[in-house]
Amino acid sequence: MNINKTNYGAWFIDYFDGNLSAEKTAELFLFLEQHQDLKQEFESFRSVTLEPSDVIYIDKDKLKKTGITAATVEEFIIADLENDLNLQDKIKLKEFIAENPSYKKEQDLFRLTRLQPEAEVFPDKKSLKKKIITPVLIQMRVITAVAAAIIIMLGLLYINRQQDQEQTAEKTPQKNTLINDSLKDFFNNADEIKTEIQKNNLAEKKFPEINSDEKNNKVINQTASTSTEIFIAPAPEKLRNTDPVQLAERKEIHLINVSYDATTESAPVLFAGRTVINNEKETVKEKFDDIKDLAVEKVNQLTGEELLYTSEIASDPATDKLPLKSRLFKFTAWALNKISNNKVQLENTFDQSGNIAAYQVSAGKFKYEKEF
Amino acid sequence: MTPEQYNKCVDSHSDGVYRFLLHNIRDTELARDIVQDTFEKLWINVGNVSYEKSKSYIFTTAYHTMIDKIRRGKKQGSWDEVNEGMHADNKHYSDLKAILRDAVSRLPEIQRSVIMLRDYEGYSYEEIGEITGLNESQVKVYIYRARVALKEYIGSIQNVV
Repeated sequence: MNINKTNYGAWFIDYFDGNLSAEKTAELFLFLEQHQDLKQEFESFRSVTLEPSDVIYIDKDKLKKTGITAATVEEFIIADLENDLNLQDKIKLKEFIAENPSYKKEQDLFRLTRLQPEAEVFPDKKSLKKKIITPVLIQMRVITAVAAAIIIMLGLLYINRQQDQEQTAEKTPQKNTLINDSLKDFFNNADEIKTEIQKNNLAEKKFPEINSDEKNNKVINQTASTSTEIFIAPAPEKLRNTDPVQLAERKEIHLINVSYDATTESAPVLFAGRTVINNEKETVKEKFDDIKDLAVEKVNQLTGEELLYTSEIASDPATDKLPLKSRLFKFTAWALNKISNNKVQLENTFDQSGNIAAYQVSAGKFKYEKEF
Repeated sequence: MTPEQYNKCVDSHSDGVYRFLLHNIRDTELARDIVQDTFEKLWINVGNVSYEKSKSYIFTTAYHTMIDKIRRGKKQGSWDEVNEGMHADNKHYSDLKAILRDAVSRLPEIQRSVIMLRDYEGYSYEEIGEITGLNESQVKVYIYRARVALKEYIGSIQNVV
């Protein structure tokens, strides 16, 4: 292909690369004579041609694996310091330095470059540490808390049931055949019973606590249950017009819940002694105290604090005036809040009389409300 | 890692990482901040980091936090700014230690880090590589260059003295 206006660039490059024959070189220069305007462009191709460089890599010895030389000894000394040398190279280095003692100083200087541990201490380690609650303890805490809550709730249910029964009993007195029969016996055959009792020397032995000043307060019956004796006596005159429930609460008398027969016109039958069975009100109160004491102890164990329920809640004079059920709710709220560290909350609402009107249990998103 | 092991890490590694940071950035407060940040990150990931890898995690986190802080323009201080009272045996530094410390402070940041991880903590090239994000060859080169620079500095000072 001859040179022309479309391919002259390739001819220029070939010329400067030495790839044109003598014939083609002559053709190129003839073309340039005919096209003077391309001469400057022709010369510009000359300037892009690189001349061979005489730059050399001076550290060839360091790259060679020919053993220790003056050029590589420093690297061997450092490698020895870093424990990167195998036994053979260690021996070579030792021999090289023995033969060239001037490098001993170099080796000593390199040994000095090893940083020695210093004794700076982080001054505030405590701030970095975390308080540990082990999973076992967490689990135990949850289990114990649940157990305590169940105890308290069972106590609550128990009290509720007892109070319901009590209220039912007050509304529709149940008859206890034995006692009511005895009651009738007393009214109908008091003299006979007295005689019988005297005959058996029971009065003096068995009823020392009966108020002897009350002539009407005579023993009318004695019967034995499996392990506890039931003593029944008519109420003292001065108490006959008083609500027996109030009397019982004031501990002036002990009420036998089934002994009051509303169908008769007789006075309530009361007992002024110590031992009473079937006295539900007394049992309820004892149960409440037992549960409360147990729960307070449990709460204290859980919270690790000596929390006194009486000092936190019952010190409020208004609390003592609340009905038993309301006091129980108040205590339960206190205990649940303490045990759960306020994560489970029981909030109570009382009416003007102090009776529990509603309660709300909440734990996170869970919420339960109950109105009475 | 369990919380107990985390607390053990605090006892075992907080001094080392604090020393590493302090010698790198020469700023007591910043070093303490980074230690705090580092252990906070460890605590957040306490369930994902094994106890065996905890030291590497701590130094890696501390190193990157430090680099991040430096690159954000936190000016490096000088040893004069460091509260000398923080160092338990500061008064017992030998002359050589002072010279070496000065020499280390003059090293480029990466060389300073690798040489301290090597000498203070005894890390292998591979471990240093994991912490700093370098490959083993690069670590080795930086350590060699650091040794040469330290040797040159110590030599020059000794010649003057």
